[in-house]
Amino acid sequence: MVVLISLALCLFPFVLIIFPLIRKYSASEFIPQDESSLFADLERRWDSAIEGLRSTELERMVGNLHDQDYEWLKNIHLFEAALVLRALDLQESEQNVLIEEVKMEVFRTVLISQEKYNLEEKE
Amino acid sequence: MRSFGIYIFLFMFLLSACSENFKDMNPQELRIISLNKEIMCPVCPGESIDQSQNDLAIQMRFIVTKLVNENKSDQEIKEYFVERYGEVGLMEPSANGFGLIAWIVPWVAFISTVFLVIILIRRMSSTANSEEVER
Amino acid sequence: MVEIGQISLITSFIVVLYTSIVGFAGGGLNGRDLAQSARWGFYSLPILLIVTTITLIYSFVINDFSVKYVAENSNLAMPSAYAWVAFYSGNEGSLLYIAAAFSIMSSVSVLILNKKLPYTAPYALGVMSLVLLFFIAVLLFMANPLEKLPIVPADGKGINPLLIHFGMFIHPPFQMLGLISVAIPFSVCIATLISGRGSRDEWVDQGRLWGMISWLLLTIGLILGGWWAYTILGWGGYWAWDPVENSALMPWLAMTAFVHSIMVQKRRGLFRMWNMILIITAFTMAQLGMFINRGGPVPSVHSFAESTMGWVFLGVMAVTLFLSIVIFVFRFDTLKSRGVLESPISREAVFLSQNALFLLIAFVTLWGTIFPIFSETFDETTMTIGQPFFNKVNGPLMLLLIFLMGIGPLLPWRKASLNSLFKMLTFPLILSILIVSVCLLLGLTKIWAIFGFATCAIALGGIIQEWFRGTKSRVKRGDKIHLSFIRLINSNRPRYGGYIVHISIIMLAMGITASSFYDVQKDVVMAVGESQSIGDYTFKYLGVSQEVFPDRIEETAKFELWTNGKFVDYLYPYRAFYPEFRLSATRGAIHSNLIRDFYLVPSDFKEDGQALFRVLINPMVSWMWISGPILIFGTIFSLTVSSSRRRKKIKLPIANSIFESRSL
Repeated sequence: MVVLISLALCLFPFVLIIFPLIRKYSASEFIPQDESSLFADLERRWDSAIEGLRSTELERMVGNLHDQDYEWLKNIHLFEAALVLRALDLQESEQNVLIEEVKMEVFRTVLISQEKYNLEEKE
Repeated sequence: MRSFGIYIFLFMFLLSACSENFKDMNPQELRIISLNKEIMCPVCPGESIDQSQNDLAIQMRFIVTKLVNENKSDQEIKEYFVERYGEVGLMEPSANGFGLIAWIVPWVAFISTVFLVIILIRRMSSTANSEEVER
Repeated sequence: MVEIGQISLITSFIVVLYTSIVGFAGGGLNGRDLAQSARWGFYSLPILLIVTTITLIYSFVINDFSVKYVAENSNLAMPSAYAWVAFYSGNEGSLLYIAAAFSIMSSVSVLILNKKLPYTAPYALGVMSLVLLFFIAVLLFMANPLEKLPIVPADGKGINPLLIHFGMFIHPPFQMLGLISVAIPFSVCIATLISGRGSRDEWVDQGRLWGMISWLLLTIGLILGGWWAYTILGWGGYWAWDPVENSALMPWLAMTAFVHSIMVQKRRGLFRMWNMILIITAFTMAQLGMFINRGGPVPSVHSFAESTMGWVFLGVMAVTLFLSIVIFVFRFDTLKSRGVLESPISREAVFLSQNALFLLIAFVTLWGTIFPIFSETFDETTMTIGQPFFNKVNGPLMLLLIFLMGIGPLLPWRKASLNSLFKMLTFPLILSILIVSVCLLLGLTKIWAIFGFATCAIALGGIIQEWFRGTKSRVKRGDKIHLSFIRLINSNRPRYGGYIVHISIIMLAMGITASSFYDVQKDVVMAVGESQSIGDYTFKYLGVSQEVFPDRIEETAKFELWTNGKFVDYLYPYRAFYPEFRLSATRGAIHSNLIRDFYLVPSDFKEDGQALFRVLINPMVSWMWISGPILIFGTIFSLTVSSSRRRKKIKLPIANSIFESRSL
């Protein structure tokens, strides 16, 4: 009995290990999406932009935000979401250039709205 | 406004626990306890004589009480035990000699952390500005 | 029976050796068959290790003293329910527990990782296999719990009497699993670094998930440990800044920092390097904890699993740290931040300072823990660094932390103007001023305690303010009051789950502040029939009864407790002497309510009928134990996604078409 159980214990991991190595893969098998693909990245960014919009709304609702801050935050998150959408429309060859552009756009919007914001504050 | 009141009332209720107890302790007893907490039990690793339930610790607690009643100062009482058990007999290092290092290092670490955070925040936000200016 | 366990242990060693090599190979060669083979092999490990565990526990149950470990850690007198406690009460058994528990948890994590991060998962599996390989190798070659004795003794040595307590059924398993579970987010992080996939925040969600789970386990372990110490060690305290306690606290501090700063990366793409550094630090500290617990260099009350193994752990810790740093430096360029820190008044900035503060506290704790070694080496005097030092140094730092905890969540991401800051801080500040005046009114004079309460009031005030305003604005839109509060909380679970956790931390902080500044402690000598009173409490010593057990002599005192002239309860504190261990354990009797605990513990029964008791009145201690369940609820709540939110999730419009075109 003991011998049998021990034998079973030894054998089953080896069956588990060897089975994937000897079985045949069919061509139509599902290949998982690469988590580092541009699309996955854009999806994450899209989520974070939407999440940002949501929390901005929430924070305004609970009264943590001054109106100016609210406008600024809302705009910046809308810009980000829009940029993600635009990025998706472009071709794969332009992807890397695009990422840079997205970054630049974000900086620009930050700058513009910050200037606008500063002006408003001075007034 | 009403929630304000409830909130304060709750705190008052809880904190009352502290004040009543506090009135009951006389300064001499407090001194004995705080001394007990600063003297280590030599046979039980890492425990003060206040904490340990060992027989020796109980003996030492009596000695502390006796010395306090004899109007010895905190310093004298601590020295009494250091003489017998060495520097290891105190729960915290003395603020002179090598023990001073133990106290200085946390301060140095605190100050350098504050500086580090300020520098990091400034750098992280200034890279933003400089890149913006370039474009 | 034990032979089966031995064989499955050997098999698991061979399997884990295979998976640790093939895991990396599968990742590196992008061989999906290799990766799958490693994965399936990995899934067999929990089964093998559980078999080994069961054989050991079974040997305890049937009192098989031919097994050395059983003979050393149990005897015939031990109730068989304690087989579970005895199983991990010694060095070898606790290692087996760690290996088995980790294999289960990491298998679950591999299952999920494989779905979410299919191209990083094989590397993560490789790293986890290496961790497990270490434990199994140690079990097999250095500390085998299934080793047999040549001569079978008639009775075993017995279990350490301090471990005979209900808390021991759950505290050590949580604590040990908590420490080792840090390895899972660590593996995800290292896998990301090795595969060079750090530049697009792929690992963030999984890192957060496993980081939170491991943080939760560590927290439960710490609170249960405090509770155990409070009820059984019989000195009326719950935390003594003992080296072993510190070594459990340090990884907790680093993990707390991590679960916060990972949110910054998720939302903003900032702190990419910082998060990696945090998780590497946390794992190093967890290993350090295991080292100190296993016969480390500093004396401690808790060194149950003492052995010479500590140095092996230290060596492995050094190697792990070195390799992690090498990998980190090698992949440095993939970790540049995506965004920028827009303003010093933002949640990101508060998180950064909070992170630094957590690490500072961890550093100071480490410093205090290892300073005795320094003083011995360089000054040749042995010094002790105990409670007073840590209270003085860490106390104020933790207060600062609670202050940051109060204002951090109120600030928005990215940027806030001073106007917003003013808007959100008015109410909490007014509250804290009110609390300070309440304190003064009640005659509290200890400045640090008042500071503590005021800071807690700020933190609590911020949360209440937000919930109040949020509910109100929903009510305005026509929702019912109770529904609108639930909907508010449901609308952003990570945020409000975090708030619930913060509330429990505030309760913990209140309990700690109150009980460490305003506890009353008296040693009283009492004769039978005598009664004494402290504050509202009057207690009468009714007598003592002695009972002799095979392993111990128990002296139980009986007390009547009255408050304000009303009879409350009988109390039965006892002191048990274990002749075999030459050790006495006291168990205090606690009468506890929401405001304060009345704690009575016998120190000594004298022969003339008099007895020495210690009486403690600890304010607000029960809040600390209540905070535990709230904290667990909050953490789990913040990890789940509400069903309404899942429906509302706004998908990328052309997502599907793009995805299809890419995968073809």
